[in-house]
Amino acid sequence: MPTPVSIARQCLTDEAARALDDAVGVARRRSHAQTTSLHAISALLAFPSSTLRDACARARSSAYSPRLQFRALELSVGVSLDRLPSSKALEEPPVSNSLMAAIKRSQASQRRHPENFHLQQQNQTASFLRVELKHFILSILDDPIVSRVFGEAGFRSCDIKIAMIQPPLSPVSRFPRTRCPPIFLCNLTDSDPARRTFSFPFAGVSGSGDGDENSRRIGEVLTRKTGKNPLLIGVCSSDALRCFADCVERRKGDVLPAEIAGLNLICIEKEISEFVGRGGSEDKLGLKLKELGHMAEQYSGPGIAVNFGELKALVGDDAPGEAASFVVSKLTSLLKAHPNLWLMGSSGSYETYLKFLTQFPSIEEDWDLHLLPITSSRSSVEGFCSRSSLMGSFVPFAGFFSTPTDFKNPLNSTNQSITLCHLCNEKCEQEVSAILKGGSTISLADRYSGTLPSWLLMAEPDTNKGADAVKAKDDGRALNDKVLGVQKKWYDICQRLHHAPPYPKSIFQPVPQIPLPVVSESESVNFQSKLAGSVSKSKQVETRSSPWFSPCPLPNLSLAPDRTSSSCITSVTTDLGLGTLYASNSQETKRLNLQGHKERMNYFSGQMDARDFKSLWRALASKVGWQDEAICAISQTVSSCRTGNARRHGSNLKGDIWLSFLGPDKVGKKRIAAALAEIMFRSSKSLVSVDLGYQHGSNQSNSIFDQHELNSCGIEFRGKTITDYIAGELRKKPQLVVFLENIDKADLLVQTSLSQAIRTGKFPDSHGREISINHMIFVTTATSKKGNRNLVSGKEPVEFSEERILGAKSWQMKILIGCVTGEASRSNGMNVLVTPREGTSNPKSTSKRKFIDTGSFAEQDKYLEMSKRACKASNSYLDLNLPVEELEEDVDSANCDSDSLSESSEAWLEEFLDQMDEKVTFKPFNFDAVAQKLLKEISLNFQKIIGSDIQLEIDSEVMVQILAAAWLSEKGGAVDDWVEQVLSKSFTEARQRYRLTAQSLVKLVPCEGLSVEEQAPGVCLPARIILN
Amino acid sequence: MGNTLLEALNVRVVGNGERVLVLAHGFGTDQSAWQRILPYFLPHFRIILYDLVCAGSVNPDYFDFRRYTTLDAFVDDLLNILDALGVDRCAYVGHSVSAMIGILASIRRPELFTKLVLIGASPRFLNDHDYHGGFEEGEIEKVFSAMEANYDAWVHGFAPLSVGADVPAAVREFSRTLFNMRPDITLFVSRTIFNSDLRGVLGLVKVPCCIIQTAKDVSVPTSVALYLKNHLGGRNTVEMLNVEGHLPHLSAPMLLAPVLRRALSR
Repeated sequence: MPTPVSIARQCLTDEAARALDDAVGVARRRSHAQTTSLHAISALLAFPSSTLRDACARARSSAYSPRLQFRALELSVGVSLDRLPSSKALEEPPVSNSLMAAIKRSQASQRRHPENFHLQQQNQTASFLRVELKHFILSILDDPIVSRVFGEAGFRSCDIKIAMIQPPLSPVSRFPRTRCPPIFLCNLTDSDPARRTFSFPFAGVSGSGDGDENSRRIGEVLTRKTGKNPLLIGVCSSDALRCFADCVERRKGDVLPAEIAGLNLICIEKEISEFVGRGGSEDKLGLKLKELGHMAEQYSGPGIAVNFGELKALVGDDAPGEAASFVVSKLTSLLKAHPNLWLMGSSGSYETYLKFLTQFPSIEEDWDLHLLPITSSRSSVEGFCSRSSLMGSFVPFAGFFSTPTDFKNPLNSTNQSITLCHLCNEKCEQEVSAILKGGSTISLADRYSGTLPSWLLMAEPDTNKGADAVKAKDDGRALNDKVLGVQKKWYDICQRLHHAPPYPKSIFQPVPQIPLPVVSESESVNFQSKLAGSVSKSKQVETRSSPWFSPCPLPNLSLAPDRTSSSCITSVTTDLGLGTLYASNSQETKRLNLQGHKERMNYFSGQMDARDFKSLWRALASKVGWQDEAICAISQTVSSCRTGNARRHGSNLKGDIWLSFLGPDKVGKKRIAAALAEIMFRSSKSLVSVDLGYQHGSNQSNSIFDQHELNSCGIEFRGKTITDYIAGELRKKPQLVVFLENIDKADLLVQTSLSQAIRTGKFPDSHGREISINHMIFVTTATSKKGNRNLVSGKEPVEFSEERILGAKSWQMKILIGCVTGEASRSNGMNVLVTPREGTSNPKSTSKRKFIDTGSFAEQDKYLEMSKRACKASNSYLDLNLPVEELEEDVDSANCDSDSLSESSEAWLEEFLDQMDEKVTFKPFNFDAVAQKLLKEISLNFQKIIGSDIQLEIDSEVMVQILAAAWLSEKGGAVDDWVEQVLSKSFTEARQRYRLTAQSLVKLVPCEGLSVEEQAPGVCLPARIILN
Repeated sequence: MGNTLLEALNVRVVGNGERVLVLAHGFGTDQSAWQRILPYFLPHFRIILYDLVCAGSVNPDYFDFRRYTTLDAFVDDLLNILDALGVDRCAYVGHSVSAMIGILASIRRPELFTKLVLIGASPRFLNDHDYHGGFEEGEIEKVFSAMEANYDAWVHGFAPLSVGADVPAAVREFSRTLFNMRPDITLFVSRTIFNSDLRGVLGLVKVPCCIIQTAKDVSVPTSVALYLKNHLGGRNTVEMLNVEGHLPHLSAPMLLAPVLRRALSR
């Protein structure tokens, strides 16, 4: 919102306030809705003797005549003002956000440099500084719109700023070409050299003249006692060496430390490369070196440094070994003979040096070398900086406007005030571009898009031509009006149709939000894609303008359709809360939900209390049919806790319930937690589920459980610790079921918070803020040993273990027809067989399957051992489906970690679990029984359709997939229905398509790599089976 | 001098462990970036935190435009701090520019470091004929001019791109520390960084390094992690983090902490 003029005036000194009044006057005259920086500039330029005009006069480029340049400035300010939309006249157009921001900025900078205050301001409180005119103008000049306007007239706002700061009498000092930091408002005052008296607490700061760090370092090495001969290593090392040589040659006193000032540097690089590379004579080089020796003897100064140049010359592929060793031995003896002689050289890469070292192993001692890593070259730093000062026009994105499509540019700056919705904007742009093309003003466009200085150059020789140019500009203005008209039209349409925000509110956005004239879209996207090749495509499209430059904070990024999407997360919670574990929208599920809902309503309307043990038990049992004992225990605990058995935290009544679900049956646990949330708190959204072990397992692609989001993966905690995530959820809702899976994997932070929570009834987040958990239910799960031991030691060997089912993938299935090979064994009167796929195309899972499968064939006592191992394994890592190498690595790392840390973690777990209200042990889901039943069902169908003399082989992966689906499905007979409908239909098709004989073998196998396209209703199995 | 330096760069020593761990922040942040990682290591390490001289939390007057023209001056600061604290062995975790600083420091004083953990490190950001650093020189110039023209706007664009826009809290945090830096210093330092080329000196590193690279990093392509692994002179490992963003310690501390712990225990 714009600020009333009176408030803005309070922040200004009288002088500055007068300037603001003038600006308001300009805005009023033009009947603009707000007073902007442009109005202020216009007002400041109006008086011939104003500070700004004066500064401009001093800062202007001497290439153009002053009158012309000022005229150009006035024109471009005028044009920019014309582009602002006018509204009904206000007495005092309020101060725009951007201008207000400029005032705030100048306040801040004035506060930062208190020595610049006027004396009478000293006693003002810091919070209420009055901004002086000088600072006011300086920060207005920072406004991108303003700098562009100045840029168009050939001024550089940084020059103007310097001129503002320096007293008028001093000669015009341009921005120094080299090694000068770029000028911003905040450091402007620093450029005053007298102020640089701050003492540096850092060592080794000699602040060497024009500050070539590399040369300074080389000089340092030369003064050392041992290792005095520098060998520069790094890509830029030869540049650095050359640079150093230059400095020494030009006798720039402060490059070399005082001890060796006057060092004579002699380069023999050329001689060496000539000798080694082209097989020159030994005499010539020997003579040169001898000469060096003589020089060293007679030299009166500190000594002679011999630069042998790039090491590559000695070890390159075309360098003969004997030539190199000749050079090396000569140099070695030279060095030994003359203590006042230094060697120096460079090597582009460490590898080169290593090669050299293998050829001459003792070279480091012989030459007394010191390796000096060089990471940047001075010359390129200079290049950067001089270029930077050229960019000083402060035109935003200078150099971006070269292509003709950028003609939109000046228009865009008008566009910025009007916000259209996406669709309308596109259409509007189309129309605008049509106008632009139709106008056939390409030459005009060219001239327009070129920066004005060139226009001025053209104009200078002849004033007539100048007038032409002005006329051209007027044409441009007419065009602008047309375009503006179109934009207005579309704005109206947009507002009517798409409920865009009301006009005055959107017309001026705060400074940071002004969409800067953006490059033509394709270009920016292109650039971005080059720059950030890895950013996903969808995001690029979504953002539409390159985020590097786009000033908007890009909130829409999070809407990108990937799995991090927030909407996706909410939907997950919802689904879970509803107790429907799959996202299918099938009619049946809905009906089911409705029914459930009705039942619930009945419970509650009929004075049914959730505290009642029986009803709770009934409700839970209807969700999970196979965990009677566990459900009984849970219901008992919850109801007794709710009826308030006066449990206490110190003096307070304890309202929170802590449950621990131990043992197998991941799906059952989760479903019971979801049911608890629904029953206890009557809201489907009061379940928060966190898998503390997610970081220990890797995300398996296309797991059947992923599709149900049963694996709450860590993505939603990005940027937060788990503690803070839980705390945040607790804060949002007064009543929650917090479901923490794999409590044994909790990290230190979570452990501390949980311990405190169960003790005190308050959950602390990572900042120590506490949230009451008075009405919460905490459910933690662990597949802990305690739970597992007595359960796994059941008598029968298990063919389908839970670990195996958890690894189920959601692949498409297909039917293959083959031939029976060997004798077909028929087991228990069925002609359906489940084949273990050992040694087949799935190397990943063979080894992990091995011990499970062998388990099923092994004798009983052996089996017990196996199962113990399996149980141990299941404790150390969650996901058995990991590739084998990863498993090993994980185990390794676990071993590495098994210091005091994991021990203390175990101790913590024991203590924590002991404080629980109840520990409930779950039974394993009997997959084998389900498998038997299903196989019978399938066999029946198969015999009915295809015949009893033909064999059906079901791949065990498929069986695992079907079992997983049965586990996940809410409705009892969902998989039976699937067999009845989908599978039978495929059998029928197969019979029709192929001639099946007694020798035929029908196989049901997964299509690995092909995920399920369409799901059958109510169950997460494919709705179609491929026939092949 | 030692104390002034420690004060100037806000050096903090925390934690009750035996072994010394240096956490060095990267470009555009300050030591607060480690806040979410810190609790995991407090019981096991004596942790040294400091701010780079270019950080917003350091008095900008300490930043000498003549001195900090190469990374070597930053290395001087680091080594001076360690000397002033009397550290003779330490593990070092450096992010982005601090990873480069750590590499150079370990070349100069190999005996000082037991292990380098390099997060989002790159020996050179610009492409070369046989090297893919991720940036073309022309592009960088454009970025610099964007920075110069409107720092505010640049930060708003750069922060979400760098952190990953799906974690608004971390983006806010990064924007905050970016804003704290004086724009001219930011520009100058990024020039220094982009102008640096450590490729030739990597072989001089003899300290074992662990390179932590996120799956999607706008500043460092994945190939760079492998390049580092192959060219650094010590025993090296690469840890890939399956998250986005250049600043995993801000955006995915939960994921980074165990990886860090594993790297430091080896």
